[in-house]
Amino acid sequence: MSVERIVPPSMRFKAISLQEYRKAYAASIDDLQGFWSQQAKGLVWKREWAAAVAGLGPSTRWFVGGELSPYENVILRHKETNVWSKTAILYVNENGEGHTLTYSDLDSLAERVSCGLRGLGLSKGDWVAVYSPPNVESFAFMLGALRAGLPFEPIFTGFSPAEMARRVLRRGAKALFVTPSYLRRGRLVDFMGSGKTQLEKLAEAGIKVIVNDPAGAYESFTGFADILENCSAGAESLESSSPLFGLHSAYADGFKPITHPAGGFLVQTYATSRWVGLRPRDTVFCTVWPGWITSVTYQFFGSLMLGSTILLYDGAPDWPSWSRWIDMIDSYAVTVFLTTSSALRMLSKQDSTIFAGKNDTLREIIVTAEPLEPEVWRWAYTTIGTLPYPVVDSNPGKGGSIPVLSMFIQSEVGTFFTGNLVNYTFTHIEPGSSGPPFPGFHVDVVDDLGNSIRGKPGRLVLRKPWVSVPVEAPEEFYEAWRNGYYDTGDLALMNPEGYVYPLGRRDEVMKVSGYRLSPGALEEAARLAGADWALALPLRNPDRLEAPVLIYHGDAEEEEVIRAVREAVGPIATPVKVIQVSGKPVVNASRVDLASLTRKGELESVLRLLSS
Amino acid sequence: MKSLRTLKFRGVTLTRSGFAGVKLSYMESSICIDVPQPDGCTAALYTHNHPRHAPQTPPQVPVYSPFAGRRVAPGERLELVAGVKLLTVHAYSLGYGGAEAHPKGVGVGFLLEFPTRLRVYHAGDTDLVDEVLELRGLVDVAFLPVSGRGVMNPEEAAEAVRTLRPAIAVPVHEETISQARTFKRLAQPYTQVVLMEA
Repeated sequence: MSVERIVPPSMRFKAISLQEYRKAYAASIDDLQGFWSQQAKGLVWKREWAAAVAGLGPSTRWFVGGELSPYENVILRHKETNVWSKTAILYVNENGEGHTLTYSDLDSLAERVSCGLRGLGLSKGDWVAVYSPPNVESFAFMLGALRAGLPFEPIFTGFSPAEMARRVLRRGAKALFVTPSYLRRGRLVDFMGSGKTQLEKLAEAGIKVIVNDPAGAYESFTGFADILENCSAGAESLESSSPLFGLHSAYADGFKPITHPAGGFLVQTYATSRWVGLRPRDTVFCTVWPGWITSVTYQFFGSLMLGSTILLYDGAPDWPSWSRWIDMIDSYAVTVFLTTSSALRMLSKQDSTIFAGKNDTLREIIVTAEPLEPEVWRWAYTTIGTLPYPVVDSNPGKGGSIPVLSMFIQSEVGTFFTGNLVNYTFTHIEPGSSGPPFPGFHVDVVDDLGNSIRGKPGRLVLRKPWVSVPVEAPEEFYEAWRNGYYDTGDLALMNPEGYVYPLGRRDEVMKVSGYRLSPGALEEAARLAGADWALALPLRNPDRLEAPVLIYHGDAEEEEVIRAVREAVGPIATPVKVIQVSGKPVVNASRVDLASLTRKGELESVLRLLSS
Repeated sequence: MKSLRTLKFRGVTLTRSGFAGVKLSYMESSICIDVPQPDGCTAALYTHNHPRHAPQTPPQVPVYSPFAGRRVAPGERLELVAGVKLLTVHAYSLGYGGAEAHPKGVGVGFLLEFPTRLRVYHAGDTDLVDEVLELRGLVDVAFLPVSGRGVMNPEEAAEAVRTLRPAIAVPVHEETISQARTFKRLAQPYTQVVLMEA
């Protein structure tokens, strides 16, 4: 564990002492209701809430009786301000072909999308889904849905068409937006070829498939340009606890949907986006894609609510070389770079000269999704986090003038909830940690009996409900509250000063490059390939934190099993190792125990346990 | 490597071409500004008659400039192709510390307005003069010179951005990448700077 303390590296940020932080934190936790009610006043409400909070645990509802227009709070709030004529989205593909819109342009486009969706027969409360790499049209589609009062689910394109179709059907979505082709590493990916069967199946089920192709003519589908129309309908308002958007989250036996509420999510996102430092003058480059919570919260909602410019890159990070992202930071004057630990690990292996002198507008680097090792943190701080010109520096001689801030997020919580906040409680940075808990989130690390523990690994929990408690969630979510607090399923260490060091999952759910994957979904895929028994476990991996290993019994060839996983779940779930066992195992250990062995690299011990 | 080759904004595709050249493609037309070899351009606009900006011999496309083709003068308004409106504005240097590279009245800048409401300003070779600042509120995209030799330096170009407040600002006429970067760092809080491949 690191004992190094880095004070905020530049006079551009105001540091506070731990005592000041503790005072602010304790005040927020002692009066969560008052704290979040105050934060909620930053939003525009159509009708103020009657009760700030009602219900208990996973059934807690915030701002009960309140009503607000999500679209107004994300877009229209900027209408009479300077933000309206500034750049909202700057999109670029691998070929360097860009597309930009101002907030005013984006509003016009989203309005026409919302009219088109209404024209297709969708009405307030109907779900829609998006399966697309980041581009202007997919973002406008989500905003159009928001304007029409339609909750949406973005689905990561790293999941297969089969997994996409399952999610669309499970949601009961009435429309699906897809991008038919895109460049990846210089080659055109033809989704209309690979995904056509699934799309036709969805169209037959009555789902409107909207294809983002200005030139396309599709018999059973609708062109994006064809749905754009004008109407006089305004932006819909929603009750505070109405569904706003949803994602599928990974659980032991499969991916299951969770839904965030309009009021609570927007309050939590607006507050934390300001705390992490987003401002209208920022250009935010988030390398996490729609379909994962970090992107939905901080690339889509948070950046737009704060009036920042969103840089969307539709391409591979290593194309034509690993300097691509830093060249983008340079070319588009990025000020906030939001990426993952896995990405930094990959970048740290490249020739450091490719990063020189290209970060002069950068103000902060936020890292998400998994533990960030101190050495990778150190690399980021001294290589990307060092400006090419001198600044008044409170950390002389140590290099680094841009803070590298690891933060912890979970789909169920909806926003970051631990980390150093450049625009709120900015205490010293401890490399390897994800900072102290955010004010307003009662975070603790506990032993199996629920006692707080410090300096040792334990369960990362939230003792009190947060504002964006999901309004729809699977049984596992309610089960995670059985001891009176919410168990995130993650392991962490909290040091005596309250800094949180995430250590990965505690259960059998895997975290592959920061992506949470369900072992059950992989096992189901293996069974589809002909296995009569299968077990997926997280294998420790130096680059991706964890990678799946699949052990199975049955007639299927290993290649067939791998193909089945790629087809049923997606390329991101491809096992790094597939092991066929000769006899059908009798397992005398829990899957959690087996996962903890493979996480330690003890695959052989697992195989011995299985064969016995 | 810079990342951006073309930028589409309200139906107009913007491309840099050479030292200070810009190509603006809209519908079937391409309007080129300070592109010495305007191949594929529907109309060629030149801000002044210097070698890195204009050809030595007239190109085979309609030319708009203060020195050849359809002569234009500061303050003049006319319509180009495809409904694109042109306003010609002053561009000149103030001659700090020596001879004026661009005397007043010789060169021009261009403000083009496309039917999609996109307004593109190419400043030409100019210092930070009052006539530039008078375009406040009229510019969505600004192409500004930053080399500091007879034209604005990065600090002055950033100062222009603070007044003009375009949605997008692109440095041109740079002699080193550091000039473009200095402009970027100073101007970014007031606009979205993009460095485009020349």
